[in-house]
Amino acid sequence: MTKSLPRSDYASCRQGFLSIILHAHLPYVRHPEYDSFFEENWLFEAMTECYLPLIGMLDRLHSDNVDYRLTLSLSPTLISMLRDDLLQTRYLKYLHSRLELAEKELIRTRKQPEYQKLARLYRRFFLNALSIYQERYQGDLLTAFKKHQATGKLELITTAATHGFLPLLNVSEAAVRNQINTGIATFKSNLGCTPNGFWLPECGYYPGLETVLADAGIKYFFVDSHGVMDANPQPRNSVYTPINCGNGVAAFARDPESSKQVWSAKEGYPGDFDYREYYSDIGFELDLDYIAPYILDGETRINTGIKYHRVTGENLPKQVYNPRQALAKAYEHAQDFIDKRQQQIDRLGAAMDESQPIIVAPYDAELFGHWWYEGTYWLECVLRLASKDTHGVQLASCSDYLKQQPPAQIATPAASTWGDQGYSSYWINETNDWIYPLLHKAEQEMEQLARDIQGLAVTPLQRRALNQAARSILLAQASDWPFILKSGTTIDYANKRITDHLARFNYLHDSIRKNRINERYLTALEIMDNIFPDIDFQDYHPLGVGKNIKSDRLQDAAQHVPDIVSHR
Amino acid sequence: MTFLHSGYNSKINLSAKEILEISQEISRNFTPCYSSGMPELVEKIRLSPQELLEIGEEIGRSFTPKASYPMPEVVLLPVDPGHLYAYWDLGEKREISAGDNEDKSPLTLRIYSQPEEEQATDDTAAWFDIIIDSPSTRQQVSLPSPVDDTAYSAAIGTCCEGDGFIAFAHSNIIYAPHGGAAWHQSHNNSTYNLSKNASGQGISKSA
Repeated sequence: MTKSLPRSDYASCRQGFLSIILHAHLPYVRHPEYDSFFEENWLFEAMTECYLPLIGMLDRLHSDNVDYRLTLSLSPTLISMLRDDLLQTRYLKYLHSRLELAEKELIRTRKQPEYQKLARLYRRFFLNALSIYQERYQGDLLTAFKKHQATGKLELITTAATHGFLPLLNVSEAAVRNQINTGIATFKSNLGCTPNGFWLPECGYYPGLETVLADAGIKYFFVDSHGVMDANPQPRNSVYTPINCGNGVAAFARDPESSKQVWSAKEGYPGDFDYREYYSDIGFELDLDYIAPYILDGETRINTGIKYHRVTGENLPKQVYNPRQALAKAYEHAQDFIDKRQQQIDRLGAAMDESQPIIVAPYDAELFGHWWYEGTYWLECVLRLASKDTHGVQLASCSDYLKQQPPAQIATPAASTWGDQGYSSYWINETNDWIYPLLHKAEQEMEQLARDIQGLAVTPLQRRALNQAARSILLAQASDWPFILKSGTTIDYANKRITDHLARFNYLHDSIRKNRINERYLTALEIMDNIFPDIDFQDYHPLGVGKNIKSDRLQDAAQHVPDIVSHR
Repeated sequence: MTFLHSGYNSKINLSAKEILEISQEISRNFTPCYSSGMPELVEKIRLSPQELLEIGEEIGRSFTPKASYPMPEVVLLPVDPGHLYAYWDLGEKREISAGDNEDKSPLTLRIYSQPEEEQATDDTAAWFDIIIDSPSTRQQVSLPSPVDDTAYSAAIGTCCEGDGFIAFAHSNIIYAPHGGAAWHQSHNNSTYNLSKNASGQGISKSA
């Protein structure tokens, strides 16, 4: 799938490799039960500010024939939402509303030339987003990513079904297996191919996980730096070559240095004073009467995406954003990033064994363009600069690298995450610990149900209810909910998502056990949680026997065995 | 009240009022793109956003998740090299809880450390006790001295005379993460992704 370079190119021209990975993920925030829903804006903002500009960048690189390499992880929830008709319709409405606001801003700022220049910029920005979305790709962003994957320059990978935090779901192997397998199945059915790589949600790894990944056909995954630095045995080349986990699956580690240059809130590029200030948004700054049609219910202020100020500096009045200055700074930062990688590779060359180093730089995709407005341009500059033959840094995907240099050292990575403190404490603490007994109990009940049903005929209606119960479990397991509970942002929403998905599971479980399935209610749940259409509840059987028994069990309702309803 | 049915083998009966409401809702709200994507979805049932909301709310109210188990249970989860997490349910032994008669032995969480898992038994493994003195059924456990590759298990029960312990339930076995490079560094490592926002997105810049 990814284009391989001749070995001579690897060996003679360049001294080391740089692999940039963007992980694109949003939780499932689709709410057909409301005419509009605030959290759906998370998707719309990310589409407008991140995914569409990213596609624009890929299109430009392609038309300029730039020989870049980039890896993009698309989460199954995001894939599903990007393909969803309702959200596509609502997104167009959102984009037109932003365009209308930008046009209104042209009038409001007519006596403020600096601001009006920016209003024009936003109008162009939204028009460009609309053009890419509607005209170039007919509302289907996945087609755009597939197109670039076909060139061999973009590698697409995926992650767990709902981004479940696997180290804390590992009380049940079936839970972990279903998160992984359903994620991969969703990717395959939407992108038409099997991913080589897998993004572990929150880089959450525990020893043994590589077995499930290998069973799913995965060739490599990522861990945070200490996952490899503390591996057993300790690897010779630190984080600069992947390790073979012992079963052929490779673990690549995040490079701390390149991460810090971008991630660090204090020292990272995005905090530069010339860059656009994310938190200065007209949704919070203009008169309520004026902004009401573009905020939540006409009352609650939200981000509109129109921001007129730059970071400026601490304790200073915010100055007007200067796009030209900001883009010049982004180019400067891109050059600095490549220079630093070159220096790193020079240093590593002296210290490493015969392997060529690979610097693995993974980032959340939504950082680029959404949080860091100039981030997409920075990335484009990095990819253009790195593709030139003027230095020793070669862009590579992890698949490219593995083809050329299979991992020489066998080691087991250490349990780790990329969260605060490097382990699981962000996802289990006094703010969110209450969810785990509930999640584990639901999982147990689902597995018991699958076990009890094994060998029995189920009616089509029962099968729908069972599959919907499995969807509810997966949706409740998303790592986003405990993350939000800890970060303290939209706590009420996270609470509601967990409790609603578990309540829906409980309802379905109860209905199935009592053989009193209300088709109308089931239909409502299928409409609301319409993700993973091909899910198979039988995969929750702990022995994974589902695939072998499913189709011939679908009998006429008259033949079904009511015994499945008996309580355990 | 007259109930109607679809005539397409549906067992659902709808009143005239419901039919009218559904019809109005469809006219008003049902966009051409509205789709569940479910291959098996029976298209004859159409629901308005209001109906979806009502059903969702009713289920949410009536089936609130509760973590209660018929049998006593204790579960361990790994947190970091210095901590584990335990939660438990006493099942039918719920009458034994903190704050009971002082004459009774207090509820105790016994943590076994089992460096060599295959040799570990209740008799041979090292252990330490945590007295459960609150009504909470979950607790973070600080490990006295983090050791690499240590397996842990737990039991919930009460102590009795001598070193005796009446266990109501035994836990799963877990491995605490290594106490390696990251743990010994400053925990304020700025490369960690500390400031993702609600949507799980990127960093935040200081306002």
